[in-house]
Parts: sequence; C-alpha cells; structure tokens
Amino acid sequence: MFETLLLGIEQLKDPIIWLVLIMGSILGIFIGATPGIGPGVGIALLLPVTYSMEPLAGITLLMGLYAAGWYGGAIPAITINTPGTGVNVLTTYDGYPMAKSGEPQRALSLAYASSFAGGIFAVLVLMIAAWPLANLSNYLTSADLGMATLLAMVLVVVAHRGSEFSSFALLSTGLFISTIGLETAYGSPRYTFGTTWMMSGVPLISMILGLFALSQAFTLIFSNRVIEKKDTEVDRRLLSGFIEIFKYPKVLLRSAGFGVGMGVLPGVGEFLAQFFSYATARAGSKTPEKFGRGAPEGIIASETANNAVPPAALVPLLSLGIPGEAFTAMMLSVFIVHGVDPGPTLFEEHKGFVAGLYLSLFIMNFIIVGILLVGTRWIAKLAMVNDRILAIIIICLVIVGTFSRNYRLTDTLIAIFFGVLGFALRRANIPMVPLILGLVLGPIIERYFRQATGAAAGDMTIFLTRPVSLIFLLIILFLVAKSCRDVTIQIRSKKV
Amino acid sequence: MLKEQDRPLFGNKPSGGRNLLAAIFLISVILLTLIRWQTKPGHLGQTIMSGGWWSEPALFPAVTLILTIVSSAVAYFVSPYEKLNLNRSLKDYLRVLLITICIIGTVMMMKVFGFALSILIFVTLISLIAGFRGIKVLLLSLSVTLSMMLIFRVGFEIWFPRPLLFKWIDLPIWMQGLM
Repeated sequence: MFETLLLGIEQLKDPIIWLVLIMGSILGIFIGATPGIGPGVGIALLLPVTYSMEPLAGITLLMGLYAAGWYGGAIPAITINTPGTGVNVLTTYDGYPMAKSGEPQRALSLAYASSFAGGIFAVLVLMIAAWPLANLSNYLTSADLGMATLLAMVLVVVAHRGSEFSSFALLSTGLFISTIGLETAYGSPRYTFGTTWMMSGVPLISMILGLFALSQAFTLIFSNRVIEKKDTEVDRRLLSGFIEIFKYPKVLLRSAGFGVGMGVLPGVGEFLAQFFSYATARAGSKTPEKFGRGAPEGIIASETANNAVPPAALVPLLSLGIPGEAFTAMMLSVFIVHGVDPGPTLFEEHKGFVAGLYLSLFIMNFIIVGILLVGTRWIAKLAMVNDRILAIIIICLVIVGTFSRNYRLTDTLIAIFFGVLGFALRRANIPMVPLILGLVLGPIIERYFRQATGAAAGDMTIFLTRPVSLIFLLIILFLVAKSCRDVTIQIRSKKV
Repeated sequence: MLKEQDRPLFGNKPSGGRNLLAAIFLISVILLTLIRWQTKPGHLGQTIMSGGWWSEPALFPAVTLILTIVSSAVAYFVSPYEKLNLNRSLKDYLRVLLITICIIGTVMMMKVFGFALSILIFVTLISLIAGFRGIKVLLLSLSVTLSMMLIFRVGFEIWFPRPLLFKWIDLPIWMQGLM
C-alpha cells in the first residue's frame, strides 16, 4: 500500500497531471451545470484530444469530466428544477423544494458534501478491490473471460428494463459494426464494399462524436428554453452540509454502498443506484412524508449514490478489461490507442499508472469541491446559456474532432450518419449505450471466443467444462430466462 | 424555471421507435444476404489456432446479424403501436438534413478556404438556420470562430492541410498558420 502511494506521488510530480486534474474538474463542472450537454457529450468531444496525451493524463481528464459532471449537474437541479445531467433527476425532488423554501445554500451544500463522501468512498473501494480482482483474473482462461464479457453484455441489456429487446437489437448492431474492416485471423476484409477507407473499420471516435455530441446538437439547435436570471442567484455559504450529512450516517453509507455495487455491475450505473438509494432512504426514514418536499436524506441518497459510481465503474475496466458502460468504453479506447492492455497485466507492467490514477481520482474530489465552494454563484449562471449557442459550439467541435483525425471527409460522414441515428434513437427513447458497448466489446469477445475454441480444437464444451465459465453461463441463462418471463407477463397483462 | 410554452423539442412519448427497429431489421437482412460477397473464407489449417470454423471471417458477422434480425423483429412486435405525426417528423428531419449539408460543405470548404474562414461561414449559416438575426449572428460567428482558432490552432496546434486560397492570396506565414 505504501509502495503504491509512493508510486502514485511519483506520477503526480508531472505538472501536466495537475493541469488536466484542474482542467477536467472545471470542464466537468461547467458541462454538468449547463443543462443539455452532460458528461457523455463532453467526453466524446474531448476524446480526440486525449489520444495525443499520455494514458494517465488522458484518463484523468476524462475521469475529471465524468465525476465533476455529476457534481455540477446538481446546481441547476437545485436552483432551477432542471437536472444538469440525466442522473441528477432525483436531486430535483428534494433539492428544488428546499431551495424554494429559502435554503438553496443548504441544498447545494448537502449535494456537494454527499457527492464528495460518495466519491471518496468509491475511490477507496477501487483501491482495495481492483488489484485482487485483477490477480484473480490471472487464473481465468479465454473461455472464462469470454463468458464474463458475454455476461457483461447480458447485464447491460437486462438493465434496460422495458426495452430489453430494442437494447439487444442495438447491442448486436454494435457488435456487427465492430466486425467491419480487416479481420485479424486472416487479414480478410469484411463488409468494406470494396472501399479502402473502410478497411480500418468504423472509427470509434466518429461514432461516439456522432451518437453523443452531434445528435444532442441536433436536438438543442431548435430549443426555446428560457431561464430567468433571479432563479440562478446563489449565496456563498456552502460548508454546512459537510457537517449535516453525518446526521444521517445510515443513508450516507447505504447510498455509497449502492453506488459502488451498481457501479461495478456492467450496464447498471448511476440511474439504478440513485433510485435504489432514494427508495431505501425513504423506506427507512422516520419522516417519509417529507420526501419530495425538501428532505435532506433525499438529496444525500441521490447525490452520494451518483458520485460513487464513476470510480467503481473503473473496477471491471482496470481489472478485467471489460467496460460496463459508455463512459468506461470511451476510456478503454484511450488505453487501446496507447497500446496499454487493461486487465491483470496492467497491474504488473504499469504499476505507476495504476497508482497515479488512484491518487489523482482521490485528489480530484478535493479539487472539484474546492472549485464549487468558491465558484458556485458564477457557475449557477451557466444554466442561462442559450441551447442554440451550445448546439453551434458542439457542431463546430465535432467538425474539428472528426476532420482533424485523418483529414478525410469520410470520418465526418460517419459521424453524421451516427448523429442522425442518435437523433432518431433519442426521439424514439431507445437507449444508445448498448450500441457503443457492442462496438467496443465486439473485438474483445471475438478474440476470446477464437482463442478458447481454438485451444479446444473447436470443442464448444470448453465453455461448460471450465467451472468459472459454467457459473457465468448459468447466470446468463438465468438472467435471459427471467427477462423473457417478465416481457411475456408484460405482454399478457397488456392484452388483458 | 422553464416557461410553460418552452417545452422540449420532443415529448416524452416514443416516436418512430417501431419504424427505426423495422429499418434495422431490413438493413440486417440485406447485409446477411450479402455475406458471401462481403467476406472471404479463411485458409483452413494456416495455424493450429486459426485453422477452423471458429476463426472463419464470416462467422462473427453472421452471428451478430442473425441476432440483430431476431431481436429487432421481436422488439418490433413487443413495442406498442404508435401513431406518428408525419408532418412533424418530416420537418425535424429536414432541419437535420439542412444542418448536415452545411457540415459536409464546411469540411469540403476547409481544403479551399482554410479552417478559420470555413468555420466563420458555417457558424454564420447555422446561426441563421437556428433563428438568430442581426448583430447576434455577427457576434456569434466572430466569437465562435475566434475561440475555435485559439483552442485548436494556437492551443492544441492542430495541423490542417494548406488551403488553395493561400496559393492565390499571399498572406504572411503566421497568418496562414493561424487560419
């Protein structure tokens, strides 16, 4: 542990790391506090920039955006009843009524303190859990890891309750898209239609920029949202919440636990974590009638759970090389670009990187809170930025981000294609995260499958004879069967 | 607070989901029929690890396309029937089409007019499409273009191909670098 700390300190001697820590935090807060953008768009726009950075700097910048986005999203949720990001929805339930009753500082302070507690707790769990899990994965074969990847995919699909089949359709579409280009075993082209520019496959960056950023810009560009100035006025005293949260230790611990638990599970993430935390906090409260009317436990439950998720989501990525959701999938692409293989070898060959990442995630929470305590009264004004101006800036960034990669029109055309697809998916309320995960997990599962069946000379029973693989398979079968049963019940109840 | 009349562009109810799933289904079927022409069989026995059915180039695309076909078909039938507002949908997609034409035009213009001028023209056009008028358009175009130049050309020093314009107009090197 002490050695890890020293290694981490060594990494943080680089001033670039401090620069990206501060920049990532500021950008994340700004993006979170501006309704309509969200960390997904921010990460997508910054992804091309991180490819030219060292892996630690790149990942730290993206993690800064990811974590600080949730912190910043609480500001408009509390001040103007509009969540800055999707995951701050529940903060509006109690944060806005508390602000309306004349206590906006208390609500904001509680949100910051809870986010801080959740974030720090999750970083500690990451430090403790990732290394042993990675060591354990040393004993896993390709069959086990392939089945673990399949389990991650199934969990992502099952997590989209109510739209399991459309999620599955998009996941398999993403998997198919990942096969386009030259395949690795024989170097033979697949679905390139005789073109050379498709040989290297669909560029992940164009796809992400299109799906997340461009589609959002298409939605924002004709928006007429108007925010009045007086609604964004906030006082400076924001420290009280850091003491008040300890009046509710059970809510705090339980919510942090939910956040970490759900962050580790692929596809579950912030949404379910906050809903579970909020529901259990309400159920366990002596004054459940106050929930939705400005209950401090409500703010603590939702914000603690939200912010415990980002570091926890890194556990499967760092230890097994399996991203559980879109943000960590984007981070995986940074690893791939730099030739760094997440998984057990990462902890052996890049100890400094891992230690530096832990420490920077820890420090990041202090930096974010520091910025928020000083700058909230100005940051709150960001909610007034016109959506159409935001859209114009996003489109310009997409143009530069896609064109400057290879100076080819085709990369921009791919981004446009996915932008229109993302726009259609947003209209139809179909989740687009499975599509990204399919594209990222496709090559991983194909490689593990080929290795496992190749080593067994094509004998598929390898997936049944390995105990770990068998356990994963049984879990998959159980989840699929349960999901099918639920869908059948839903259909029958509609007919009745 | 959000004003009552400023509702989001789209409502909360799904619109067009079934049509989208049908399109995914149809495209997947077409792609699956093309599999013979769009993938080549591997050379069996090249190595012990790669020489089998499990490493055939067509295997993974075929499996994923079959899964897409089945799941999109099931999703289509499971999702509730919805009545689409065709006029509204057409209007929304026409707006998107207009913006995409502007984006493509901008990228093509970069090789002729350079980075700064192309972005300036693009932002001016898109501001007008978005409903800005008068001095706002000018201010917005200039400020966004200047920010983009400062961030990408000065800050990140991102290189762009030398545009044709600089062959016709003799500008100082530093200005060429900036633009």
